Amino acid sequence: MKEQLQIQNVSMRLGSFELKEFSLGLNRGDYFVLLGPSGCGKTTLLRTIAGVYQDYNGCVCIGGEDVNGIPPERRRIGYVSQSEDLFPHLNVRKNVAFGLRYTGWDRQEQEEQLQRIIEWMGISGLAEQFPKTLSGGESRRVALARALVVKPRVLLLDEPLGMLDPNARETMIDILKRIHRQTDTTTIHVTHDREEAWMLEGWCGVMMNGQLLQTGSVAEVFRQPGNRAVADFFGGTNIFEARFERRENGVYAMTEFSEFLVEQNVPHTEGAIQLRPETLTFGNSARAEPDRKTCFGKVDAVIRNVSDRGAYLRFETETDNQAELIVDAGHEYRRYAPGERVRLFCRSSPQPLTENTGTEEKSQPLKTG
Amino acid sequence: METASAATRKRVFLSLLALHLAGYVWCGVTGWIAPFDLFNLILFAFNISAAVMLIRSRFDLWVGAGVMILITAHTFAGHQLAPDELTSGAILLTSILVLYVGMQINKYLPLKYWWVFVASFFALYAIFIHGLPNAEPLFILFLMGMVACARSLRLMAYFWALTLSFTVGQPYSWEAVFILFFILTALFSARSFARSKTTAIFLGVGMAVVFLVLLPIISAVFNMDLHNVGNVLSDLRVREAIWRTFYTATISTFVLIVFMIPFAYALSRLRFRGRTLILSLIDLPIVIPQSVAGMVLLQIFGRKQVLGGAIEQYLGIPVDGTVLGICLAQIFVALPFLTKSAVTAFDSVDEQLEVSARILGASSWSVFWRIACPLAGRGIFLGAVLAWARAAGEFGAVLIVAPSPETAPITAYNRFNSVGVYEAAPLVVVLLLFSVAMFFILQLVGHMIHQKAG
Repeated sequence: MKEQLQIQNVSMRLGSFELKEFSLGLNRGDYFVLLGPSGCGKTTLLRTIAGVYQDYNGCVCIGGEDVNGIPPERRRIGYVSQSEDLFPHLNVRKNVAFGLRYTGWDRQEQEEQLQRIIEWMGISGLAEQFPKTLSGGESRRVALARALVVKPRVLLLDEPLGMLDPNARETMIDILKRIHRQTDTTTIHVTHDREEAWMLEGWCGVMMNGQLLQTGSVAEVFRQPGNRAVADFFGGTNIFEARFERRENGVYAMTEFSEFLVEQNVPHTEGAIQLRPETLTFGNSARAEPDRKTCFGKVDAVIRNVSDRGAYLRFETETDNQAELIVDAGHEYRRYAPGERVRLFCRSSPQPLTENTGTEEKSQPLKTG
Repeated sequence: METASAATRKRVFLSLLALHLAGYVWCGVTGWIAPFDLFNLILFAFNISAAVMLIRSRFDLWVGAGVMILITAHTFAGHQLAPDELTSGAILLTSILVLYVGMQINKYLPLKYWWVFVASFFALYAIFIHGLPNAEPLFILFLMGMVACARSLRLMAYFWALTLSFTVGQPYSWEAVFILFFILTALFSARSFARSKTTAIFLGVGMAVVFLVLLPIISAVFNMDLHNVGNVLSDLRVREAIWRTFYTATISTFVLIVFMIPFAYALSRLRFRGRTLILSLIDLPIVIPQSVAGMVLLQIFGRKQVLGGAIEQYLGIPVDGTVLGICLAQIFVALPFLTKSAVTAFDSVDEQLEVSARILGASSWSVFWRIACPLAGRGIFLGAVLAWARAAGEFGAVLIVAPSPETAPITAYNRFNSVGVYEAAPLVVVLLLFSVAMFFILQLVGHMIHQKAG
């Protein structure tokens, strides 16, 4: 095992939160963004890694060492919780320096590391202040400094950008990126915010109901969600139940209102597809059969509503059997008005989705009539 | 108000003067007043010059008329109000001042000020002229005071606090002034998010009850005689008793701190079977009557009992009738105060802070010392103060376990038993001063801890 952090089949239950056979491996220097809705077990996972919860099945290894039974203070983990948990009776300098005395470094080394971190975080001006006088962004930076000062083997960040105003978020993201470049610390960044994942450009994973559903680059996960739950989480629109059928020129997804050609190989026969709103266009062209190059499917619909979203126009349309389809199109489509009958074309392959097994209570009703 | 024409002024003031003259003649004829009394003649001359000046000046018509009516009325009624002519004249001049201020208040301030002013005037009249004998000079004095305070309702409140304390509040005038001023200052400086009459009333009434309960202590401090205090302190027996009280209470508190604070931390952090039972059992010494507690202790730790005998054998001193016994009784009664305060204080420390400290590398022992104790410090300290005070003031249990050597409460009781309450008063004041001084010192330290932890 070369990995810095290795989590294998970890299961545990804590009240309503649980982890189900959770597995994840991170190499040294990885920045992993763990996305998931509130209550999916993200914080439970971080605390299990940190050693706060010890009763789990499976294996957590840090730096190749199984940490089962090792108390949190001997794991050398950096953890920034959602509420920062700065010590109210200590000033910023003492807060940051808190962990240093347990590192076993000599006095001068401790002092140098403290100065270095305080400068990195831009909190030298706050050193003598007490936590209750700090703003949200400031206390977040202090908490991060406090976690980093002991050179942790793994850094766990629980919603580090939550509850910050946009400017403070930008600053914090810059700091996180810079710190990661400079220290190369293996990091897990937990968030429920998709925007954050885009801004951090890291490797990301989607977690739901205690399970890791998909990992990959943000663009990959966003554009090619593996199953319905992930697609839903990424603001899933136009998701329809489908049956997959193999024909001589490819795989077809049969929905209630039309059929679509699917490029990817689909192993199963039942599932769903997502027609991404920006891949749909419309017009009155009357091409007979879907052609693999330009058109992956077509359906007749009536425009119900148009709204201007700034960069594009959003058309809400309805097919003959009451399925609702969202189309995002450029401003050149302005001439189409509600009530107009159009033919929708699918310009790129729809994304086939598997029904997720672990998300019974999360899955939304199907959008078919 | 439009200014009346010169003709109107002339008509009004002259007719008032005519009224005075007519009344003067009529009263003289009927014998109600002495017509050739110098004072009455001076009053009439005074009124004539007033009329002349008022006609020539642009002075307010109504105030002028009021002044003239006052002088007229005083001619007929003055000798009924005042014992001598000097006082009578002073009352007249004060009345003119009151009239003038009353008019000004009516003109420039909201109506309620005027009503308060008028009511105060009559109340003062009732208290000093009717209520107290020979108090006319005081009436004049307080009337001047009232006039000076009339432009502010708050000043009026303080004025009445003072007046009532020194008239109705006898013989506790100074105590009453102190208490009433304290309550008024609290009420007037009270601030909240939204103005609420309800909370203000609750505050005022509550403080009044608190001070009634504290009145004996306040009274004792006010009437303290330093000479007697010196005499009492020169008594070796008293000095020893105070010193003994001080160090036994300190030892007891120290023992409680050493054993009960870690215990309280455990109770706060751990959930186990029987936890609720333990938390209730801690409170037991509060509900047990002190004398009963003393007897129970004696039944176990008495020198003829198994445990008491063993202690005497190994430590060399018996429990009952010694300092050891005093401490034991004090620990027994003070235990709930420190323990409960400490549990509450530890409960209020966020456990997540401790988790964070653990992840940062602090051991659980370190977390207790560097996170939990400093953050719970203030609550623990206040609990220790309570426990110390409880231990120092303990009477019943100590009396039964160790009636001698004496602690301060027992000395006071013995003195009361032998010489009675009046003779024991100086000792009582000394003990009171000792307690109050300790109380303020501890409060001050507690406040400083609070500032630091703030």
